[in-house]
Amino acid sequence: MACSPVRVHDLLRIADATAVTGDGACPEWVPAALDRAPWVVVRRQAPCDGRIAVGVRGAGRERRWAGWLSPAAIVECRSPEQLLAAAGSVATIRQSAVPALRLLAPVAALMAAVGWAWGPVGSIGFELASGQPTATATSDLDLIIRAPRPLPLPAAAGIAAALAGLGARTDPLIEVPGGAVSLIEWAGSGSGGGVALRTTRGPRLVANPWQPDAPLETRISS
Amino acid sequence: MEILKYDYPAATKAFSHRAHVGVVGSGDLEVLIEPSPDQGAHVVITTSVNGFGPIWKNVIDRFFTRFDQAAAIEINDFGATPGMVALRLEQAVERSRS
Repeated sequence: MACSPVRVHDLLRIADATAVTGDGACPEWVPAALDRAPWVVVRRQAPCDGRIAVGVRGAGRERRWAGWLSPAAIVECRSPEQLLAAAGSVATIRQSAVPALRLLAPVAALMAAVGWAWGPVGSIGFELASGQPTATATSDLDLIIRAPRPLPLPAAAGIAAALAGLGARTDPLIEVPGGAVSLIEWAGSGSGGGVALRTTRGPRLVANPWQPDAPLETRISS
Repeated sequence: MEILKYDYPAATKAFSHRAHVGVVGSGDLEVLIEPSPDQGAHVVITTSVNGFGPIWKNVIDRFFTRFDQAAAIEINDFGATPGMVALRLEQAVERSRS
């Protein structure tokens, strides 16, 4: 299995498509999608009755299905960091077709220089895990940066500027102990007002992602 | 991509500020709020994910049960959850007052 416990964004290979159950009716495209690529992504939601919150990805943005998976059904688990390590084997034809795949190497060099662990998620992560062409010519490189300790604003702004300078679009999310925030939003939050912290119980506005329970700056009433 | 438009003619209180919040990124959205050109409120949503009109209507209707000002709201959505949409709308209103 390789990741234990599983974390948000991990991709899980499952042996049996029927292992994923949903709160509602299963859309008709789901069995075919899992047959083609038997991988699901861990969602940002707490486990329920021992089952992991997972998402199924189909063709097109509309085809996402939220479901639940028993840990016993996992045959393989790949974290974003592990996917990054395997990115060197991407076929040249895919690199030519998908600009976001060609960004992996320069982003890796950049992140190695600043010293924060990171990895690809979204369609690029899914393609690296499953080996199935998933990203397109217009896909962004969605990525996460692990920040168990605070990423200071100037450092965040430096990384954001360097990523922006790479040409094709990146979509960086900072994973903090209590959830995740957009790197772009955090880097630009110096003027106050809070940033959206995505948590397992939904998003909330916080002043400091590493101290989510500290009060937001009190606004002076006019 | 889909464009959704909702009007709230009963939201007529004066609104004179402007604010821009949110992020261009997966699971997020940008919200721009400014004074309406007429007496009611108007919402225009451009979303990258098709087919969620009824859920949008529900989230925006709920926002307008508490917000009653003549604002023009423009939303650029990148697959945000309803919870994130509600948070960004509240944040935009809060920011417009500061």
